[in-house]
Amino acid sequence: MRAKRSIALGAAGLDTLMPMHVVVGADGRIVQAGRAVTKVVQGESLVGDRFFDRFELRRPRGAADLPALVRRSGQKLYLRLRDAHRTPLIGTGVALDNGRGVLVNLSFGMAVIDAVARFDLAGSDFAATDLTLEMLYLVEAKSAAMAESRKLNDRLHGAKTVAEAEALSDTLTGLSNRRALDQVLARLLERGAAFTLMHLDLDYFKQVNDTLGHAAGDLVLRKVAQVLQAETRPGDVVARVGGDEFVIVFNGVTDRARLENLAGRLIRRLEAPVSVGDETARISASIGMVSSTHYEAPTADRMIEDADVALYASKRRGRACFTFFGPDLGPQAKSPAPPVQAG
Amino acid sequence: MHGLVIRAFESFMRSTYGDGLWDDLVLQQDAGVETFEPMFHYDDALAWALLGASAARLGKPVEALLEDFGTFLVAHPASERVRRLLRFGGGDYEDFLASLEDLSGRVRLAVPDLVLPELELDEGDNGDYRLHAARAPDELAPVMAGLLRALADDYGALVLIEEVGGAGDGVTMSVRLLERAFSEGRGFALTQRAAV
Repeated sequence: MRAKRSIALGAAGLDTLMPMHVVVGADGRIVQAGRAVTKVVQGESLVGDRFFDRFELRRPRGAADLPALVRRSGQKLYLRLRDAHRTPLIGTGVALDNGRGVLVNLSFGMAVIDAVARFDLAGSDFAATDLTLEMLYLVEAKSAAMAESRKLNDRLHGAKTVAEAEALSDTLTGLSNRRALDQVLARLLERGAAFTLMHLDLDYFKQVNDTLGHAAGDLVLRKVAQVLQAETRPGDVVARVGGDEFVIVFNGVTDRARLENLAGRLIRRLEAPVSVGDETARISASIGMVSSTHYEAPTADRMIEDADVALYASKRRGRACFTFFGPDLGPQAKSPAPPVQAG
Repeated sequence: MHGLVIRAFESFMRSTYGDGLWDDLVLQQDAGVETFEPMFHYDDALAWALLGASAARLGKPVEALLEDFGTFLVAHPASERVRRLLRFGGGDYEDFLASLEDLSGRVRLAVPDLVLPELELDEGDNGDYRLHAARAPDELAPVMAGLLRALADDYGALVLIEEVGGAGDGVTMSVRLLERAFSEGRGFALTQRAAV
């Protein structure tokens, strides 16, 4: 076998190429150390110290003297600095010619970001070919981009929550919800418009839910919504305000005969059987109504309350009918009272 | 235009002239945009209109405003992040100048859809540099002038920077490095974390 070619390289040249190198002499003592290693040990001189007094070899296990290091020549080494932080290092050792020791080149591996901060390393502490700086740049740039993305996500999430809270429609039926109803009533009352508020509560809906299940119940509610919309004009407002409770605002309609006609037709149409798979759901509706013209100074709360009173009167009369609110129903409304109008 | 660019300009305007002025300028554009998201893209026309409106409102030439913007990107604490990412370019000002050729590539590594003009650096004698950005809008010149001057201060170098009539297309800047170590400059630590 031919003798391997050697090159001579001074300490300065070695330091330029490998700022993290340590040369260990045949006696196991450190002969020279690169500038970055020296910085890591706070500028102390390592020269003359035993390598294994300064560095702990974690893997391969059991290699704790120079001959072992020589035998592991070329293998990847996992070490720790024997300092307060037990700074982890990775490295490779290669045996020097003629048994003159070992050259170990070190790196921080994954611990590099901590190490750079801890030891206040600068660009000049790394070899020009070392990609650590590029990596630190990327870490910082990516973290910044990630932070912006996270902020955007937070904002979008917040906006979604607000949008949900401010939503005006009922998600199941697409009808208006209570919030929308309140806004409509406020507007109508504000400009003193004449209108009628109808409170409609489904009869026998609980049985549908109990016997056919909630999916069937939802289907029925959507059907009800379709009927209510078909039977009202675009200017009217149909709102779902509870599980099976609806409020309809008939804009500009206060004529009793016309309202009786409307209410009666609504009940008849809602009584049409709804097919749910092989089963048939049958419901009806009770209605209470009150017109804004009934009051000198109508308020939304009062009208809703009075329509509710009228609705209960319908329920008491055996359901599936409608009632107009009137003085005869009185404030003690939910106790038995004579019916005003049968449907 | 990338939202990050508009947000940087917004940050400059808000820090320098107050929130009210910027909010008002945005409102007046009547573009259906109230806030700019850094990770979205916006119509170029809107960005240029905002720039024009900002300069008009402040009674400043657009070039002067853009130069202040370039300075802000490096010198103001609100954009420390930009300064740091630029400082990663090199240990001294000359290294930094050389790194400008990689700038658009570096930026794309972090934010793939942020496209910056490609820069080309020609080194002459005695610290004389030409920085050329082909296909860049004229507005780049004052921003670069402000930014390069502020970075020279950051590195502690003394430079003379001016826009020179280009070879036709794009923007050409002349950078003359008068003194490498003119002042202390500001420090730069490779990581922002405090030492453990």
